[in-house]
Amino acid sequence: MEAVEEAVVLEPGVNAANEGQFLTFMIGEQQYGVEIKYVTEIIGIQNITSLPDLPHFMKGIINLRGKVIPVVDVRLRFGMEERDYDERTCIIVVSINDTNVGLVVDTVAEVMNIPEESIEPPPKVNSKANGNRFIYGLGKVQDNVQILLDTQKLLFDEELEQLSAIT
Amino acid sequence: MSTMLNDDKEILVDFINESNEALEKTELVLLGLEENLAAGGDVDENDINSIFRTFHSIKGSAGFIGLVSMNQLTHEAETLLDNIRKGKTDLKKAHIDIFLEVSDTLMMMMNHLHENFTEEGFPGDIDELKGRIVRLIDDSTADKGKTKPAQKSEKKKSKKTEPAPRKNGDGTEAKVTDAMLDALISPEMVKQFVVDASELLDGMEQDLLALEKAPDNMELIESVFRNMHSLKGNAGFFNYGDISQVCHRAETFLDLVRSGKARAEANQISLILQVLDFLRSAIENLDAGKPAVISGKIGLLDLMTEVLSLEEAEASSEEKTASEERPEKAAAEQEPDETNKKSASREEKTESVSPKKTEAKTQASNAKKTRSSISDVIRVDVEKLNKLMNLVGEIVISESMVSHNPDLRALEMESVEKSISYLQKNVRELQELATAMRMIPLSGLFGKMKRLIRDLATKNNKKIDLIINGGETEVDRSVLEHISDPLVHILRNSADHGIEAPAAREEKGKPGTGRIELSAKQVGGEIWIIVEDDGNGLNREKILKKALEKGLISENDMDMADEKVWNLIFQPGFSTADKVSDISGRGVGMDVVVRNVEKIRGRVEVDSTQGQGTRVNLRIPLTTAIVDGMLMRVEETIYAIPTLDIKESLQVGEQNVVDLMDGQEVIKIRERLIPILRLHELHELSFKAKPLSEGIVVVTEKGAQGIGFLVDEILGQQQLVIKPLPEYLGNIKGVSGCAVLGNGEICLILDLSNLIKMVEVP
Repeated sequence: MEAVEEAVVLEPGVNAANEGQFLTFMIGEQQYGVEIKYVTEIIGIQNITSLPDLPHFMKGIINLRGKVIPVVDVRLRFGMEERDYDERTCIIVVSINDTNVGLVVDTVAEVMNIPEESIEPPPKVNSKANGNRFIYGLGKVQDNVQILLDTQKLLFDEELEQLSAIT
Repeated sequence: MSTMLNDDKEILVDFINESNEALEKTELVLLGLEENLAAGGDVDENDINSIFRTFHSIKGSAGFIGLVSMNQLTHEAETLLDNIRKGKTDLKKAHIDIFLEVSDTLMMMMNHLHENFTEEGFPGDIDELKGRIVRLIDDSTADKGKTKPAQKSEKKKSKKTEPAPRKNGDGTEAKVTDAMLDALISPEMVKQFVVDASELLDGMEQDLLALEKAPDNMELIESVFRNMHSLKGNAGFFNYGDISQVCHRAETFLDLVRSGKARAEANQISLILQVLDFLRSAIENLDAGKPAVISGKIGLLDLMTEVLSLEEAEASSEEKTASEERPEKAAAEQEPDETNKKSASREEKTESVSPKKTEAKTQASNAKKTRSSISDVIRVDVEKLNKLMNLVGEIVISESMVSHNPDLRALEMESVEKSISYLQKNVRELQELATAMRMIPLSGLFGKMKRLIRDLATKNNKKIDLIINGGETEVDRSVLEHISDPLVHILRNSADHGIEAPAAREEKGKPGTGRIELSAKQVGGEIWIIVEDDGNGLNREKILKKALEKGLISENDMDMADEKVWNLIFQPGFSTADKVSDISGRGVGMDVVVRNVEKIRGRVEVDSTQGQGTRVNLRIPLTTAIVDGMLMRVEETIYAIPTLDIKESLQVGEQNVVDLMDGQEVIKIRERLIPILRLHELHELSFKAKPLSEGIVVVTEKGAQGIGFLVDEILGQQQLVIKPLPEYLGNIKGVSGCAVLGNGEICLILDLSNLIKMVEVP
């Protein structure tokens, strides 16, 4: 419950107005970004209740002030190695089409402005690699490259739908 | 008037509510007077005074608010009453008729006021009614002794009361232009019309179904006629031409039946039932915001004319009612002899008393319905109720957060304990109340089934009696939605496959008329809805053969228990009917039943005896939102099972554990063998093979022999607010929902019927 009190609740007014804003987070050494308009809040890691018959990257459900929301581990979603959660692990709660989902990330970095012209489409090469299909574009900020994620695809990729249809 | 201030509106609403209440009482008094009068009893002065007071106070308030026509109407009624009160006039039936009419008109005006906040645009002809009262005053005071002419004219007038509103309906159409109408009709009014019309249609359907069994029951005819008439009137007011035309034709026929000029034949009643369906679809269109058009209206009208033999009567409805009046009038006038006339009119009077009275009574009850919707029943948006229910759920959670708070508990203070138990009591009461608000009696749903059975019986040339018991049993609104389809499927099956044709039944020595009993009752924490027929029963061999064909069972299963055989019919795509009818037999249906009932955590039981009949029991848990649950821990996960489903929990000694060949563990409790389900394995929490004797086995009641769950620890009992699992996760095997506990943890609620299926191989 303490995690809730530490939660960073983002002002909704800012979300709507700023199209080019991204919330960035770290998975290993790489920085990723999601469009801030989908993000409702960021909370510390908390007790996750696991459920049977779920794809491995779906960690289970958490209680967010009485609301029960599912949690996806982004690391596992990208097919990366599992890593123990620590005090820096965060859950980014995103909301798309009235569906709330928590995304577990190694740590949250910052909110940054990436103008449209600095975003390049994802490279076509190596398209078979897992994870690339979630990429919305590559954002260039100074010398760094941010991998900007397509939140819609991250949550509702057809692979996932197939999985839930089987279970 | 249209720019009325809110304060004024409040005054008006108060006035309407008060007046309606008073009018309701007045109506009862009038009916009592009428009965008294017919029995030749004395008129109670108090009754007259009370009626007088009602009209008088309405008159006063109406004058104050500025409702001119209402003021004038009550004034005339009051004058007539005053005459009666002072003994200037003897109270006669005609007076009571007219007072009833005044009271009805006033109520209609009140409704109109309630919707429009002005008396302008009221469709009734108040001046005409007023005129008749004035004439009655004149007649009665002028020749108190000579009752006959007055009687005669009254007779004529009371006859006219029927066609009068009809004319008004048409009149408004003619007088008021469409644009004016559109301005008058608000969406709320249309909504109200839809609600009222559905009620009227339901009422008519019930009456017609009863009428089929007793075609000579005048009371039913009157009631159908009245409802049809009101529907026509309403539709006319709203300018729904199709509805009012169709109603009109049906009404014409009903009028003939009611006046004894025709007899309602079975096929004619069937047609009217079909007409109701057409009307219903038109009203559904209206509800969906589409125009109230009846497709195929012309064909329907022609069909009605033909089947209901209305050719002559339809020539002109106005003429018909006129000609209907004339012979009676003529007959009365033809009597030259004074005494003869007297006796004739008396006869006429006694004749007219009974139907009139019932008419008035149905009118009264109808009126009561509409009125109570203003005074003591309010319509609430379901969405609001759902929100309330959710909020109550949150309160239950926060209550348990407080009462299970370890810091608070550690205080061990008596005052805190006291407050907590007080809080618990109140929260529980609040929750019960909120749940009760969503409860709806099953009678409405059951009533609809009458029609279904009747149609099926007619179609298949079978005779079926549907007996309904326990319609007053109440279930949650969501339950009602979920059981309506299953019930239809089950009843269809009973009527279609279960009940045999009359000849076949008689051969077996059963009465030719089949019997289906639909009943509901509360048993423990469940509602049982039972459909029992005395038909042919399920055919064990046939089911087994079919199941074998479909590969649902193997040759070895041929001697399985009856109960398991019956459950086979719930498998998708399973049907044993030799021929596919258009109603049932395509094999969809019974699996729908199970799926729907399981959605509300209920289950279906079938029992059948070959040649004797079938019994299907839908067992539905009482409330679906909040349950008492037993919490248990398995590794790190907390599970819950509804307390009502738990039979016992125990630690088993090793000597009682039997390992079957396929690895299934079974324990023996008091000569019963119970299969064990290890939740650890099910949810892949761990694969540690822990001996059964180290955990606790919770035995549940569900399933044929019950089932035992192996858990690590029992945490206790608690009220749980069931929340669905996030849709995002899809269907989770074995878990029906979850609940948030007081400490913020989530517990998973086990889906017992699903789990049992996983253990029990059919």
